[in-house]
Amino acid sequence: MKNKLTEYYSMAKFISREVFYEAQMKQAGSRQAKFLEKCEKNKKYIGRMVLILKIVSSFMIILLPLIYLISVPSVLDLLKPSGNIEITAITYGIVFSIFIISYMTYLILFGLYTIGAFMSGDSFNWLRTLPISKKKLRKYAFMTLFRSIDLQLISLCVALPILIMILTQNVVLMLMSFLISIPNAILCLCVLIFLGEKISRVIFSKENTSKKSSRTKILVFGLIISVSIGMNLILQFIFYGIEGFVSFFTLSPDTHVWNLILSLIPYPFGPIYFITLFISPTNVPPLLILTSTIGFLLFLGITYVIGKKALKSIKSVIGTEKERKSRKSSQELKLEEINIKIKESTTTIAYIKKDLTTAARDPQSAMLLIMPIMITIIMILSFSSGLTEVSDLNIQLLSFLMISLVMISTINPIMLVSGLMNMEESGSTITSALPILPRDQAKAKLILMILIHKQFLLLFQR
Amino acid sequence: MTELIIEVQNLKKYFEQIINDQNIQTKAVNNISFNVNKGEIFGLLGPNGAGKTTTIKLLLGLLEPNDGNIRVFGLNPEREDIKIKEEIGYVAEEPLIFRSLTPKDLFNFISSIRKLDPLKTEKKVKEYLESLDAIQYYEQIIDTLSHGNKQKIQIISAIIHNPKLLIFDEPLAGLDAKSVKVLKEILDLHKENGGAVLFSTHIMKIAEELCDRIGIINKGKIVGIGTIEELRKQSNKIGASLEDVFLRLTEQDKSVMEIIKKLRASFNNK
Ligand SMILES: Nc1ncnc2c1ncn2[C@@H]1O[C@H](COP(=O)(O)OP(=O)(O)OP(=O)(O)O)[C@@H](O)[C@H]1O
Ligand SMILES: [Mg+2]
Repeated sequence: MKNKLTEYYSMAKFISREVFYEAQMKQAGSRQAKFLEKCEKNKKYIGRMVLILKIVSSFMIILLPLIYLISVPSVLDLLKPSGNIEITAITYGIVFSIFIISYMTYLILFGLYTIGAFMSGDSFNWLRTLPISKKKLRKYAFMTLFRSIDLQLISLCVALPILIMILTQNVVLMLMSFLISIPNAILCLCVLIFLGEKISRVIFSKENTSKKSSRTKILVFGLIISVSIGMNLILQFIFYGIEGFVSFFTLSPDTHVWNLILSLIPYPFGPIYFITLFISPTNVPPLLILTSTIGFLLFLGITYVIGKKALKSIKSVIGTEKERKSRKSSQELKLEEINIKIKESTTTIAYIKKDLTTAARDPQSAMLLIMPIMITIIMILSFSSGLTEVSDLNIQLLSFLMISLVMISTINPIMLVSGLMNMEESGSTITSALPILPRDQAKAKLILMILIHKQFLLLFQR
Repeated sequence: MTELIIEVQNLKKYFEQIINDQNIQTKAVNNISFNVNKGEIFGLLGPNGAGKTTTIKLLLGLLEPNDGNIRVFGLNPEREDIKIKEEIGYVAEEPLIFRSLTPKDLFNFISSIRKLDPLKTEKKVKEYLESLDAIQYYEQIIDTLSHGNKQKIQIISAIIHNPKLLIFDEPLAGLDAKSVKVLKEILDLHKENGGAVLFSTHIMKIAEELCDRIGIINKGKIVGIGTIEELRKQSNKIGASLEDVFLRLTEQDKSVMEIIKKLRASFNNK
């Protein structure tokens, strides 16, 4: 039995490598040629990339949330033991819940494309032609999934215990947090699987060519990027304001009521409240023990239900070739209805269109256009967060404006220009065969750049 | 006494697609019947989009048919696809093998999946790699190989387990002259040893030289089947080349002339 398991594990190495490659290729979008070139030069390149990405993302999962602690030392003061169990419970409940959410966000951020590629099922197309039974194929699928993000999952399991150990030096708490980290990791994995499935359906599907589907594609991209970056921002803000937030609860005369309510919320409070019970078990009011246990059980139940659903969607990945079946009545294609139209436009406009459509189609290019805006916003926000210490409102406002202007006029254009130039390199396979004047290209880039840049300035004038 | 390897009866397969927000149905395979015997090379010919690849995928149980009967080695591919796949060497239209691996890893992977004898497989892989001039790519990542070399690796990976039936979907695409010759020899040897071959191709000359029987598909229907002589009779073109027979049977012979005329006219107007 054990031998079998290790056999599956070692075979899954090849499949997970293929999945990773698939994800990298999809991410590279139109820059695949470059990626291939690197593989050609060094055949260990893929293997090394897998390892590096794994290690880096695991470190990120553990370390990134810790950075908030260093940048916001007041959180440490908050967590200093206080005599009142109600106050400790609510402080721990809120602070550690934020961490749990941030772990999940990072896992999703780092694993989304790999899992998306896995859920697209492309890597199983060939396996389906080999004599492998459905049952075995399913085992391969699980092993592949696990191998694709094993290190990340493990670091997710140890991240919270490490954090708790650093903050509280309480061994019992640490052990408990390790125990709840396991179902938490499973839950995160399931969420990742669902998101990966959604992504793969939107990004990797070939069947639907309607306008609507390409619009949803762009929308989903925008959503993923803004959520992943927005999440960070939100977390940062929460940490800056956490003192006030927590004191709202601790100073309120109804702290115990808040505790009861929060502990009933299965995620993320349920498991956290459950472990805070172990700070001093004898002191906790029985009602809180009851509600936290209920909250924790609810959390386990949710994990179980979601886990079952995730299993189902993994099984669908290895099924027969994906086919769309619809209830709408279908008809045969009538040749008369196809009208071939080619719209006339200037080279410049054609070029802008090309840039925008590539941006919509492959994530990397979309990032090139969206990232400058996002990063500028983040820079502005993080620079101006220090302003809260300045008492004069006018000076605050003025400095904020100054910072914004400097950022917008420097970072944004630099990133946009390099992004657009990068995109040019990517499309070189298509455009190098076309007789295009460099001037037309440059004109198009300039217009696009000014458009994005303008948009951004307008945004800030409001 | 001939032994039936593949039996197909009244096979139907429809696809649905959304085009311009309309649900469009394609009858990719529309009532096809044919047999492939033991010790026979059977060619599937047909214009682009005729339904050759779809038929082949149905044989392997990769797609579910809408209607009809399929037996491969007397087994139903929908239910006993594993047993069938054990005895089949399949080369897909587009390289399906793991492209992130090197041929070395790939052959290792296949031999563990198919539980082959390592020593015998090693010898075979070496022979085939040498005969197809691909031994120098043994440790390069497959995706970085040229199209033809990828195809060679895919072909080798489909024959190292000594299958009884070879199903090749356009195996010659991208191969150079020498490799085509070698591949033809491999197919012939396979046939002499009692195996069967089903392959689709667009190259009429190869089909003429290699195939014992040919099935011509057009728009999901069989429009001609049999030996070349029989096909000539069916198309009323005694002594004609397979190309002419093919164009006649797929009703493209007249349209080709018209298209050429039209093209010439529009080109001269330019
Ligand atoms: N997954 C699919 N979804 C929708 N339609 C499909 C799908 N696969 C094939 N078709 C359609 O079925 C028809 C037959 O396709 P098939 O690939 O079998 O043709 P073929 O004979 O192999 O052509 P070629 O010589 O170009 O390889 C085509 O009209 C094709 O568009
Ligand atoms: Mg085909």
